[in-house]
Amino acid sequence: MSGMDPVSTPDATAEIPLGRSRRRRTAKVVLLMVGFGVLGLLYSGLQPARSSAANSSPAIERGRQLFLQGCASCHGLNGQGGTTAPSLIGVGAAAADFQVGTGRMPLQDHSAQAPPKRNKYSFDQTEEIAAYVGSLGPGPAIPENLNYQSADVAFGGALFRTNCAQCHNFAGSGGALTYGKYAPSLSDATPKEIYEAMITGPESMPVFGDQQITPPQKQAIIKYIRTIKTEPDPGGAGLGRVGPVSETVVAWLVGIGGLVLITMWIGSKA
Amino acid sequence: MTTTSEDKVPAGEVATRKSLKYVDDQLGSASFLKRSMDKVFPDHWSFMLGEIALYSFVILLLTGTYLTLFFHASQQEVIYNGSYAPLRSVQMTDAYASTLHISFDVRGGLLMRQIHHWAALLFTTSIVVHMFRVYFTGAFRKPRTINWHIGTILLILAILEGFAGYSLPDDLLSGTGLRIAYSVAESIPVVGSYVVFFLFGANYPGTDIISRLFIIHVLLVPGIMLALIAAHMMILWHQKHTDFPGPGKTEDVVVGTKFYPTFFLKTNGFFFMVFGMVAALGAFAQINPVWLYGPYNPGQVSAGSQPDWYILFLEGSLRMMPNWETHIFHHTISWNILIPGVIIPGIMFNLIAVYPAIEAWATKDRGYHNLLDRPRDVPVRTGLGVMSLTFYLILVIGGANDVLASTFHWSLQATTWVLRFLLIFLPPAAFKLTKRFCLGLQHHDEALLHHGIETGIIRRLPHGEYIEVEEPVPAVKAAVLASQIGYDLHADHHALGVGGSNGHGPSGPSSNGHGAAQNGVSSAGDATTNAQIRRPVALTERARLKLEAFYLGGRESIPDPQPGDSGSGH
Amino acid sequence: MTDSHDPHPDEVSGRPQRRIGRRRPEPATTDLLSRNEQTVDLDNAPPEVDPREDKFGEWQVSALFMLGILATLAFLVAYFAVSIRDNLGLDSNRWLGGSLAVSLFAIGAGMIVWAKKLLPHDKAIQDRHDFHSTPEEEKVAEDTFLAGVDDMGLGKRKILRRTLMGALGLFPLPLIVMLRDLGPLPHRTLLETGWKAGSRLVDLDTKLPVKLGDLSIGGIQTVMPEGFTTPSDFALAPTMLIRFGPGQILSQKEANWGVDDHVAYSKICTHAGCPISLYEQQSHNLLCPCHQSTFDMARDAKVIFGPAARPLPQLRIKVDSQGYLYAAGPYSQPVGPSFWERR
Repeated sequence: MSGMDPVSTPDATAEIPLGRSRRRRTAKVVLLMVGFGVLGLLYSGLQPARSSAANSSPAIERGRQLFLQGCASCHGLNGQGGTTAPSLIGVGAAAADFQVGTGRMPLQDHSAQAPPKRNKYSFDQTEEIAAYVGSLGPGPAIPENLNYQSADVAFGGALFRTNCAQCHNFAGSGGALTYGKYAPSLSDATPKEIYEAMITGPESMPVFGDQQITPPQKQAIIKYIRTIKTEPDPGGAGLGRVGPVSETVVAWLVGIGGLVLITMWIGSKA
Repeated sequence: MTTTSEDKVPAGEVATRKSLKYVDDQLGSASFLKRSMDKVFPDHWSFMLGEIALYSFVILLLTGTYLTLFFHASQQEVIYNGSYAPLRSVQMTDAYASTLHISFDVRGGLLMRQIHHWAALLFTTSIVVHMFRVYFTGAFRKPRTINWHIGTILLILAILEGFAGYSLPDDLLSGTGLRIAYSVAESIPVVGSYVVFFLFGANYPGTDIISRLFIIHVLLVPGIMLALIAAHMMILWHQKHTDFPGPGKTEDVVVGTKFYPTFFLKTNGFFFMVFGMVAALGAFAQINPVWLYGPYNPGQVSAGSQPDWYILFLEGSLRMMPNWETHIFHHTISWNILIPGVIIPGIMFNLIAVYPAIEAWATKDRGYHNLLDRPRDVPVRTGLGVMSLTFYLILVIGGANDVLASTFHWSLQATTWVLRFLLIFLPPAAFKLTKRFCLGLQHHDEALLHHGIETGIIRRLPHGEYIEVEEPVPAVKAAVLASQIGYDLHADHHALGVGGSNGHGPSGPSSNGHGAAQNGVSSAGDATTNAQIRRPVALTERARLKLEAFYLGGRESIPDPQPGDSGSGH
Repeated sequence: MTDSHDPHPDEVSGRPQRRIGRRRPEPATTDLLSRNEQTVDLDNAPPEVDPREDKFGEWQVSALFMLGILATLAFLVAYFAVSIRDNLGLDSNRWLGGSLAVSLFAIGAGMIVWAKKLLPHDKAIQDRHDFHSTPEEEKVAEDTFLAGVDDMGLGKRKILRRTLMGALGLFPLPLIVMLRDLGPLPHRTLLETGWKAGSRLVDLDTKLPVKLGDLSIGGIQTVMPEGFTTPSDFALAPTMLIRFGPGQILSQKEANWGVDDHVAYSKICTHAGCPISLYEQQSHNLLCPCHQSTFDMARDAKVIFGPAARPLPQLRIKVDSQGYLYAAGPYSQPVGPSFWERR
């Protein structure tokens, strides 16, 4: 299976265009930038030189207008970052699309982690903002044409259990991280969002670059997540798919609780 | 036992008589049969909790036997090629593959697996609930202390049995649990690493543990449990069931329904109901979806890795423990595993085992008790029970701290810290509150018995005085209250329920039971007075007196109705 | 069953009697069976039954049993009619379990309603027998036992007693010794992880060697020593390769043991051995999902929360001329949870 080759071939990258080709050195800086989340104040001094100005495409211009209204108050007029928000230069369109598309940005309040909300922008507006942010500097582009349907689901499952399950739980139900942070549930995540999260590493999430998990392998992971999400729970109610804790609650409330009611019925006078 | 249902058809009757005679000719069982069928069982819903455990065990034997027909207890690596597509072509152990086979390729196999697992949860749950019923009502007292011990051993075996069964499918979740169990055993000083090497047959995980756990799970432990359950039941049968106090109930008789036919029909019906409950759960609530967990791999783990509920207290104590470790003479003692994983459960189970002896020793209660205590009438015991329950519950909740944190978006670390504090401060508070609450209820009972129920109707007497009309307490309730608070209400009332229930036989209120306990108090008082004169009292006796005062003191919060009361220890 | 140990008077007298011991007990005089255990019905007058209510109860119970029959038949039909291949077996499980549950509930409820509605309300009272024996009985039993001891001469025949105790004491020993082959002695295997000097780092799933730079900044990868077959062969080997951003590693030793901001740490928790990799790339915290030990990966994997007592061991890695990462040597300290022999 050529897709398992961690050293991805140009063909493999071509399947999911990730924007302009980039040199490794640039990639390092870009991915470092991706690592900055909403609380990345410590690292604000590490900004690289500003990249070339946005091109003049009308979509980017509309994105810039939206950016100025909704984002610039924290991220700066040119996306250079501020005291409360990281620089967006070089994070790529994928990061902006993920953050805005899932409603995590614009931020409502400063909690341990930005919660997903309803996206206040339309689909087109989100794309335009992403295009503008993508134009600020080289970074991962929004993945397109995700044809994960033909991917190897079993191998995706193995990769999922090695790389994802430790935080997102065995069924993608989410889990707790340190000090109030958490890995969100994957049940509402679209394939595009999952892909974007893997390549950009939003907030606490590690970055899974294409050299480590190749695009076909990412497709396989998405296929696995989608498969177990859509497959039925053959045993009945899935109980949140969080393991024995919810089973405990059911055993006590329904099991013993129900049987105690039955004993009371048996003991009552006819 | 051979109880054949009576038929109305004479032919059937003849056949029944014939077969009963056949058995009697061989065994001489007629008189035993007659006595058994006439055996009287008291009626109370809480007396059926143990039956849930018994019937769950029967269901476990039935479903478990079915599962062994398909399960391969082997760690042989195979490539899965069954029906479940997301795992096809994945390398896994035969144990896991055969579990998938049962779940997806055997008709009714998944149902049997789920019924088995739900029944296991209900088994352990009902044992614990049953145990607390026995504890809070004082049913463990003489002459039932041996049965309490058997029950304690059964509880421990049930937990071990459950854990062994949970580990058999060799999935990612149970493998993680096994990894922790290995580490707990490995932490035992001096012999730990030898113990685990002999248990697992190699450095973790080895290739033997599943087959060894299998034989432990299907033969060794269930065999011992079967014998102990038989003993538990035979002792119960022999001693007759305890009963709550009430009109016409004394230490010397048992009042209720005869075993045959009423109780027999009801209890058989209840067996079917318990089976129906686990079948319904097995049909509509998914449990242990091993196909989602994936095969065990020592390099993988899932967030929210929890054991089944009966191990959660251990998981919780491991999670809440501070990170203590001692390095001494080139050796390591890892208190961070040893204390929560070995010492705390050891203390807990030993306390359960010795509690009846401690209470009997402290209160000098050597009497026979067939009538139960109402929890409120023994505030200290009830308080201790609630205290232990609180401690245990916090451990259980601690075992789920990450699921709580992620469900309610709390900070994981803060959750753990809060639980650590609660573990230390909540149990004593629970004790104090419970004791006070019990005393308040006693006081309420007393008022009820003396003055009757307040009706809210105000009446004016001819001479102008206003009074509230009070209704007398209904006869049944009055009898219960009277038997609890008792005839010595005016003579020697004491906080620890002084019952008409004390004593076996006609020998006055103070011969044994709490009557004796009460004597104990007065003798405690005497001993204290003596001690002031004659200082050296045996150390154990001094400890006992302290404990006795702990159990029997505490009446200070009830206003004494009789100022002349002089029986108290202090 | 339970009372079977009570000797029946006939048995006692009918059995050939042997003299055992010198203080032969008197035959028990108490008639054990005749103890007052009679059950007295308190409320056994035939209940006044309203024939219509009785009829209704009968109808109810039979309807429940009928439901049980139907549900059992439904189970049989479902077993053959509902395919286990549909919906991953959800339909099959639902039908089989549902019909089984209905049939069991119906049978159980039928029996209970029968007992509650159609049986006479029996309320009976029964004397409890004494749990302890009479003092004479106790004495007789004790005497018999002691007489046997005396007959055997356990007190006087010291040589017999001692050799018997010796024999019985030694007897279980072979059984225990035979457990010796359950497993090897631990010895050095506790320290072996499978990592050797020069072992290339290979991915846990693809088993392909890892090159410097394959990992993105802020990335984490689970690696094994090259040449592992099944993961279970090397349960202590799983290792995390983490790549930091420039200047993020706050420990010089940690940086020195890594290559170009890449560092490798054991994935096996030092607390209870769970594989940990809940890595937060911003805070550099690593959380164990089992007991929440938290490690600061930028500071030598120092424990900052939870029950783990020791930092995770670091694996010293190097890069070869082709760019592949390899272990400079085995772990310098034992991996995983503590044990007695650990220094």
